[in-house]
Amino acid sequence: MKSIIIKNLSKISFVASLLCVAASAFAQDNISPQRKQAIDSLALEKVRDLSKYISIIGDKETAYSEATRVMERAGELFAPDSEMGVSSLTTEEITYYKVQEYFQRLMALNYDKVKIDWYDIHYISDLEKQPDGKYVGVVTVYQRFEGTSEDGLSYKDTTKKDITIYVEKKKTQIAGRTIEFWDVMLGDIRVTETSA
Amino acid sequence: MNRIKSFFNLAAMALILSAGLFACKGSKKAADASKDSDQDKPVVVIKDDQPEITEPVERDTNTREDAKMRLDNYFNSIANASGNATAANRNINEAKALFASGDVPVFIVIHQSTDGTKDYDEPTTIKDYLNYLKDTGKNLNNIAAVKTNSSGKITELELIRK
Repeated sequence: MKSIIIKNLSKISFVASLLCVAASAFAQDNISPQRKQAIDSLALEKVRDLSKYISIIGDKETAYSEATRVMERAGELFAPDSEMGVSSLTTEEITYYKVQEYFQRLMALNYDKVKIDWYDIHYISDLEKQPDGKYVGVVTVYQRFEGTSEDGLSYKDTTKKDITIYVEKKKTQIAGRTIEFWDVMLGDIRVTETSA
Repeated sequence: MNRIKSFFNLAAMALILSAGLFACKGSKKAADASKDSDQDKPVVVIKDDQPEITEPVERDTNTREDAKMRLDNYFNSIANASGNATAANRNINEAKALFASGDVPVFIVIHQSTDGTKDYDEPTTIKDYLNYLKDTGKNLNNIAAVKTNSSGKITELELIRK
């Protein structure tokens, strides 16, 4: 009789454990539309941050120490080995640089005044959950570039760029507290159009 | 027959146990939520023979509220410095003086569910957050909670999306 009770209890524990695991997995996957919207906005905000950083790095009035600091912050937005496409009206070729090299080249541009603005930043492919649990989406931006030399020569173009976005839930421990957060990483930035 | 009876017993017990487990989980969540919501509230122990025990707590709350207000003003000033790096840097240095160090953690809540579950952005430090305000020119967050040490310096900051 005792052994039957023990046997039954172990079966019950097993069934209960399975139920618990299933419930927990369901709860993790169950992201409400409001939460999803907050994650979408967070990722879009990171792209807006990058646009500010690029504008600061390119600006000839930015002090070297500030540009260096901002370059570091901008680099932190990207997944390792991400590349940035650079195009020109003078050639059809698009050159891809690692983001840190791109920032260095941007800071060293041979103009006396550089103005870079990003606008019309929006998703062209919503963040979708992948089998590995990461969310992946694509954001499009338009970049207006204006470089002017002291002799009055200037170069202007507008490029349309596609940015791959990766969002993943991660854990970290800070001040003895474990915190779960949404890690947003920007991937490659591809040039899709270049016009005057 | 005994087997069928035993199966029904097993199923009934499993249902009762899983219902209990869900109830536990629900009450844990509720407890967590109430823990979160109570985090800011000072614990006041009122005893007839020790009425003065509320004073330090009140002073502590005032210190925190004062720090929150001053900090919010600094955040707005830094974000609105619009290219005036000198003014922004002056405000950053003044704001930093409110903190125990530049490495004080800053947690940013991007969404809070009705059950109290919070979604966070990647944690940062106050030094980086103040520079972020200067660089981007935007103050997107309200101050949700501050923790202070015995000197009244902020040791932890939690922000929430406006």
